[in-house]
Amino acid sequence: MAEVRWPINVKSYAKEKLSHGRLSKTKNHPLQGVTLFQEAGIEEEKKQEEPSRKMGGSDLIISDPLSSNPLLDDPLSDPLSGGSLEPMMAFSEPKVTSSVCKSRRKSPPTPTDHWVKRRGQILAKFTTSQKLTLSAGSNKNERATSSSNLPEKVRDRLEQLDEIEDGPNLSNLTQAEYTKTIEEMGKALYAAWDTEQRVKALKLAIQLSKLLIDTTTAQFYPSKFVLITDILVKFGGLVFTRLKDKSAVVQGHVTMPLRSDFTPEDVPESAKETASNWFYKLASIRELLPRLYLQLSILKCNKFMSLDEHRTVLMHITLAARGIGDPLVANYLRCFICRMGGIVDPGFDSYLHPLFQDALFIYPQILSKGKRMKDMTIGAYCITHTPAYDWLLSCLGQHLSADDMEQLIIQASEIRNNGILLNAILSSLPYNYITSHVFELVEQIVRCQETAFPVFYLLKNLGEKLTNSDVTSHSKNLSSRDRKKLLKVVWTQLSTMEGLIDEYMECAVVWLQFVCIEKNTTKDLDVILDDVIKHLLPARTFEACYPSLNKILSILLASQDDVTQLFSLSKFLPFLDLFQKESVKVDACKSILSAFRSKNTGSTNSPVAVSSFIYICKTLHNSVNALTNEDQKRDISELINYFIASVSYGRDFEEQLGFYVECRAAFSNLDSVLFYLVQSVCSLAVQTLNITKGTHNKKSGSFVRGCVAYCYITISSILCHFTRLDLYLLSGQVALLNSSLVQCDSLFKEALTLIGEVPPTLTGTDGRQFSTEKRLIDWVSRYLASLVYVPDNPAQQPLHIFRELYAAIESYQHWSSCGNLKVRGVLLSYLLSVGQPAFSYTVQNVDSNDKLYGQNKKYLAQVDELLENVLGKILTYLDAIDKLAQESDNLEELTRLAYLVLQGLDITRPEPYRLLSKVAYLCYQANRKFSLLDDNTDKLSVRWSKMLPALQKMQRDMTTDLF
Amino acid sequence: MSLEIKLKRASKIYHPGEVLKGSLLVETKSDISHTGLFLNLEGVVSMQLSSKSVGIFEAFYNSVKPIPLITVNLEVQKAGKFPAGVTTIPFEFPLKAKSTRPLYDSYHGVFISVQYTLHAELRRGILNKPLLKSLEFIVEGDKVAKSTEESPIPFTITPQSLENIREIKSVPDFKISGTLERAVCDIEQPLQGTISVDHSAKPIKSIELQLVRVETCGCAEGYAKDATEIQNIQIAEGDVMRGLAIPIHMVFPRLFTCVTTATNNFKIAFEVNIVIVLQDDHLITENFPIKLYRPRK
Repeated sequence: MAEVRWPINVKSYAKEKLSHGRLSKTKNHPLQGVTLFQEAGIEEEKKQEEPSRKMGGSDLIISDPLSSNPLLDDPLSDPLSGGSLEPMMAFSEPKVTSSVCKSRRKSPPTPTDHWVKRRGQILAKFTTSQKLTLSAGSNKNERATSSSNLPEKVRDRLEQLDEIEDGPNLSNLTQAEYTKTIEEMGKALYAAWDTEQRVKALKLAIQLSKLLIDTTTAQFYPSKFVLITDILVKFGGLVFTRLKDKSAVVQGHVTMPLRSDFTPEDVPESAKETASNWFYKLASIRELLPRLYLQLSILKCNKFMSLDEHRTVLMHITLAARGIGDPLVANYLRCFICRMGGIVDPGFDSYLHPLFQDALFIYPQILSKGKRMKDMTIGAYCITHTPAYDWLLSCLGQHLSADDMEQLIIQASEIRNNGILLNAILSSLPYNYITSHVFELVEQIVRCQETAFPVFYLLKNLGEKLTNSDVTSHSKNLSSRDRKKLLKVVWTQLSTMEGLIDEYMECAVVWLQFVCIEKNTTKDLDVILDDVIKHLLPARTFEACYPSLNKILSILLASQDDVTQLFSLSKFLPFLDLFQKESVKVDACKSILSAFRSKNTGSTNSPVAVSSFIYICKTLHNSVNALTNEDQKRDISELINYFIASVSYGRDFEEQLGFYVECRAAFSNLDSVLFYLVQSVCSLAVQTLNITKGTHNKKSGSFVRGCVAYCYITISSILCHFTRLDLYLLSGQVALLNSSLVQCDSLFKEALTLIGEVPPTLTGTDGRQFSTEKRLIDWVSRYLASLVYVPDNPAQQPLHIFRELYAAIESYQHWSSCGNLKVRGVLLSYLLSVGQPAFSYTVQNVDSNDKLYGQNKKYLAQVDELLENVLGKILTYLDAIDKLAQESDNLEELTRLAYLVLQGLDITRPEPYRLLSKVAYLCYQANRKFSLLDDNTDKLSVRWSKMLPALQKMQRDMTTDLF
Repeated sequence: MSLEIKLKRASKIYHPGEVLKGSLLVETKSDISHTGLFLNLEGVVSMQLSSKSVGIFEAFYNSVKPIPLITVNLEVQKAGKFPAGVTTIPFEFPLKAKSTRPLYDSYHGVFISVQYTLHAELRRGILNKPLLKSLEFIVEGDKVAKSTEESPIPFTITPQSLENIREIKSVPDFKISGTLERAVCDIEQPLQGTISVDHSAKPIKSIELQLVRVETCGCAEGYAKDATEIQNIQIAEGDVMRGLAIPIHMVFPRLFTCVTTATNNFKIAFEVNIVIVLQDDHLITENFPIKLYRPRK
């Protein structure tokens, strides 16, 4: 037997541990915010950590979340650490909602707020795909006749002026273009005003209000009204500001601006004169509609003339509005009267009643006009009127007593075809009033069946009113019995709606919301869902209703504190079946899972919920195909992982494993899910070990072996090489911990077959290629660290797994020059460890090689032989780099190597000494080239300082030997 | 260097018997000498014949002379110097008619106008052009007692009530009724009334109020009478609701209207036409002569 050429220094691990200083347990996770664990988190974390610490080797089980699979993107979402996050989320959520509620209640909404809200609704609702014509209603012929007795020259000039006044005449505009033109006119108006061109600004304002005469595209009219009045209101503001500036009193050098609560007496004569000029100017505008609109827009300016002049003006305009023949134009003008009246003098209400009565008086006109509309139904035409009536009534409603409202309902019931009015009552009168009259109203709505106004619209509005979230706590709510009764009446109406599937769905959404306000209404929900399914299924009409179906789904999800409750509805899964289009279905499944995740209701094991969720997850899983991008895949995997994490059968581990088996069958295409499953099973195995206090009985032993077998099978179907490597290592570790040596052996070996297949580069998330070498070396190093404790298979040669690894590394083609050195350094470390008489750790119930061989000569010779082999390679490699340009990377490796040799081998012996000299020489040369004091080599200096005494001695020798 | 006339009242409205107060502002960068600063107040009725009447009254044409109502000349400053900077020279004129004619309302018409003007002239020797500036101010004539003719004027327009139609059968059936609040109107108050379309076979396009001035120039030898539109105000747009009383409302424009005036040499009178335009552009017009006056408050 040959002499040991590479004797290994015996280490005292216990001593080393001491020299590393005392380790103290940390309380903070470095990746989490400071605030997260401050309160309950700490306790929770301690509880979780303690058992695992006690377990000694169990640290090995949990692979470092930072170096593990990149596909599982967030180490914090790792369910192993996820448990400690939950309590934190649970108590932070209510806080958020309560603060939101507070801010909502803070300020009671003002009429202007209401307008802003409605404004948005109108713009969103009243759109058109028809072509629009922008014409400022030219009346050229008439003008020509009326001015015919003027001299020729004058007439010419007037006509030229007219051309400017008439503004652009554009036809065939899309809605967007039309809107843009209006906005541009507005901008031109402001610009003209800013450049002191008041007349031009006024002309533009007139042109804009003239656009409101045109009602050819009625469904766009409300939006047009909103856009134009926005500009007019601003214009009025400009005039007011200007008059106010003019009213500033100059006393010597000091300019005293007008008080904000000024009276007419404070206004100087000159400003009054300017104001009255404005009024005269506007009063002489030829056309009625622009005149009224502009007089309204500068309504506030009347305050310069007298205290209550504006009231007279409001009364006058209220009457003058009767002159507008088109009901649509007239009603929106009335709407604007209310709006300006509300802004200037909210307390004044004398004009509101006649205004509303006029609006009622022209009601028959709407119907007769609606019947004559060519391109829209009478119902749709009626709906274009609703915002105007709603606003009128909501302005009036603020000044109405309960008796007045009573009167109003009676009046409404007397009018034929009172749909629009009913609608206004529903959407504008106070919540309390509606709830106390709800049955009378419903009765009237039912009677509307035969009329022009669509009933569904009324039902929808009623539902919306009743589900309004602004309702304050002291308002009068419907009793539970009334709700049921109401729902019954309404739903009977709805379910008989034939052929109006869109409308039906809109109502269904609203009334479903109504049902969901109350808790424990599963029966009602079932009835509604059943009806919806009955409506949609027969003619496959659901295909057109996906948006509404989605809305229903989200209402259902939002209504339940615990999403799993939904599965107890008998009609929920049939309802889900309505989502038949692949993409819609996937989205629906996603939203269910997201809701489940955001509600965070903890773990479940109800068989209905689990099987439903598996069905949903499977749908998601099956939607993944070659075209799915990484982000989508990650989203889906995350959702599925969350679901897997939240299924817990408590101590029934076999059931749990069964569930994991089912999951594997269902989600075999998603790497991260499989990855997560393997991890979960591993942790299951370790939990078993914890429960049996480290020693398995027959049953638990076979269960654990089952777990490991599960891993073994599952891993091989994962695509990513590194994930597989990591998982083999992890499950190998688990097998080792559970003393399942055969499995451990095969898992460790299985991993080795993969090395040859590792691709040299991978494409990162940013699309750039990166080298996998560092990761591979990192893995090899972790692998070897565990391998130290794996006892050899007695049937094989000692260290046979290492030999295989060694062979695999040697045959791996893609090492870089530095990697070559690095990976051999790692091998060297391993060999230096296995040569020790006692290892630094022991695994419970497992005899590692130190015990197995007990410093057996034959074994040591094998180690020595391998050392010889590895070091030989290193030496040849060193010879090669001697000649090559030395890189600073190499320098680090050389240092590490020198350190290893110095620490691990007896350098008094010739072979190690020669090696060390060689390394030291190379280091010396490198040192001359790259200053060791460089920043990037700073960390090396510690190592160097330890080696310095030895090196100094060597340097002395070297001067004699080498130089 | 500039010359400016400033009146104390921002509105520039004065009444007979009042004193017109104001100041002349001379602004100069350096001292200047002058040969006198003059101010002249002139009120005059000027007339012009319409082109269509020229043929008939050619001989008469030249004889339409302006009628002076008031003339005052004042030498504000004798020849001297103005120092650099702004010199303010206040002035006062009593507004008093010079002859038996009263001071009529200021009025800008087509053929007749009544204008009151201040002319300032700064003479600067023979070599330099004089500096001129003029400013119109407004005179509102004497107020009179409140008219007793307060009764509203009801009207009904039907095909039968129309005057110049050839064949009554061709006219679509309609009935439009209303009232005009009064025919003698306070010039400072809007013209008011109501109108309602009781029924109409043809849809209505528009209802308008047309304010017309009737100006008469001439004397014993002959006269020219012309009616022209002052303004046209729309009070109804589109086919209005039947039976709904629509307000008639018109503000009398300043300067373009004045108190109804009748003198030997000229007359200014006003009329209102209610014009109903049908969808097929047929016009139905009803004429109301009105009298404008300025009552005491």
